Amino acid sequence: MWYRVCQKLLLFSLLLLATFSSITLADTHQPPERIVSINLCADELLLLLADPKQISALTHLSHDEGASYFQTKALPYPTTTGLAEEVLPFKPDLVIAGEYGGIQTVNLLKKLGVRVETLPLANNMQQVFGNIELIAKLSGHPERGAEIIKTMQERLAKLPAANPQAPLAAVYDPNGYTVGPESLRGQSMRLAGWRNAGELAGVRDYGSLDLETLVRLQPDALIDSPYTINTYSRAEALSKHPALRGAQLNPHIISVPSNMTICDGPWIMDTIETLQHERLNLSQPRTSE
Amino acid sequence: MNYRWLLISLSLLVFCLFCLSLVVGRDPLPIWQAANEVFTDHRSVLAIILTEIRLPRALIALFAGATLGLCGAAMQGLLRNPLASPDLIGSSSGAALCAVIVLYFGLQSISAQMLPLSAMLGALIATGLVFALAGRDASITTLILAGVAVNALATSAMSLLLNLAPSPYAMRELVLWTMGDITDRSMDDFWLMLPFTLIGWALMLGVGRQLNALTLGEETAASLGVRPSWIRWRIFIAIAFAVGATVATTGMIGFIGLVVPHLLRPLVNYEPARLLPAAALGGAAMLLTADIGVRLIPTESAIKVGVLTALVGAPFFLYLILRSRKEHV
Repeated sequence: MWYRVCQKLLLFSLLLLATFSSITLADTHQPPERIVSINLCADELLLLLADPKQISALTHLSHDEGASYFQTKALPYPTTTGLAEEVLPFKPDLVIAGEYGGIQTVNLLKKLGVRVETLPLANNMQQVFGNIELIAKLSGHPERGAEIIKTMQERLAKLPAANPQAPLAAVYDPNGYTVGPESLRGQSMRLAGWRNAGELAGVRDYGSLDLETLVRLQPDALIDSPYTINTYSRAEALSKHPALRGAQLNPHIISVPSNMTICDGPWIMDTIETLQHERLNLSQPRTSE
Repeated sequence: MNYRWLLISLSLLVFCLFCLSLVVGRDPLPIWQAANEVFTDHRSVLAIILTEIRLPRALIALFAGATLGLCGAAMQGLLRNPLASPDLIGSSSGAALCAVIVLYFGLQSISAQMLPLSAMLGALIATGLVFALAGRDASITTLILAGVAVNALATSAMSLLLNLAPSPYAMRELVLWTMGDITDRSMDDFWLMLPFTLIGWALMLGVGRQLNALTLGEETAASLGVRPSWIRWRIFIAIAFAVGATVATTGMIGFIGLVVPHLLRPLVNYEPARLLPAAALGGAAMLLTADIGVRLIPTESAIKVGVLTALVGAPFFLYLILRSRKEHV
């Protein structure tokens, strides 16, 4: 046992040495064999990038249709709710946690000598690429990440340039939650050729949009991302508010499945293309008017 | 009931719950095997789960529960008000506010100890503020009012931070923290909490007799040689230490300080001095039970222990109000 600990320490210090002296010893470094993810977004990227046998456990959310993009792919794996005592029996050689939530768990795992890496929250395409690169590197398959990023960049390049006459849309989640230009969903709206009503309302990254602003700005479309269909929500009912109908405001509703918006990954390209498609559908009849 | 037997049976109860708390979890732990591995192969998974995850959790529940019960009993004795509890004088919310500030600005990345230390500081500041507001020889009413005001101030500042949270994710983290939780604490957390808790408890030593005298009214107590303002200071500082350390480690766990002294008071013949140790044991038993409860309730995302105690405590609070109304009629 001690021998293995020493071996790991040695490997770790070698790795440190390698990074400091910028010699790429990383190729000879063994990729982790028992990765446990305690963050939904890390689940998705692992399912995308790691070998199935490298993954020991995912979060319970990865089995949830509304949350998990790779839900069917996640079903064979055991899940945890992210508690340290559930994680340890898998004897993980790498635990991937999210940026928020579970500070206590992360501190405890680190203290017990488990390697914990943090997956940051992506607020723009560059950070999405960064996250894909990070998980690809951590799981020992940097080439897979590079290939996915290359395809994404090709698809990005095919998108038409932004048009100042573009129609106006707003992300409108329950309770009027909306996004500004410095968030990933805000950026994907812009890439799809929409102008963002949230931005006009002064939202920088995350904020909320009240009914008055909505009536004033008259967006052509609302983008929502309902988590569960057929559940009552006060905010969803708000879009049926007399003020909206009275203002003859009948925005086109674009629904993006929640499992594509909760976490970031290559599927963001599908979202962008859907948004672009919806925009073209909407602006075609308008321009012919 | 005989006082000694009450304490013995409560201690036994706490001991059993403590052991149960080591065994019960999402997946039950084969306790004998784990205990065996602690001595033979202390790096095995079972041993680590037992000594580094379950043990600190049970210890923190034990000490935090005892602190809440003890401080509740002391407050109720001091203010001679059955509805008093440490939350009332703002210690808990002051601690929570400072902890939320640390989380909000991401200061915990500087050092893991930032969170507990700042929460203790918050409890001390809030308690100090109540003193400053109420003045040196304040009446009970002024004190309670000052406590309510400081409490309101701290809670609204906390709401402001939640309101301004940079992202929904950050907000979720802040909200969850204030709910009160003892999962995945480490022995480091416990060692950090312990000295401050013990200082608080030590300050409570010997106040029982004076609290007994206070039941006769402040004037009578003063004639018996008790200095009401002195005892008030002492208990408040004790609460700031002990509750500050507890809130720092567990978040806000409500209602234990309120409910436990009430349940035990008839069993100690309404005598504040005897209530103090009994309430400490009772508080420990209650928090351990609640913490075992949240592990057994099969929900997808674990219920926070503070939510469970509040769910049980709030109806009890209503019952107290109804009963006190009946007594007054």
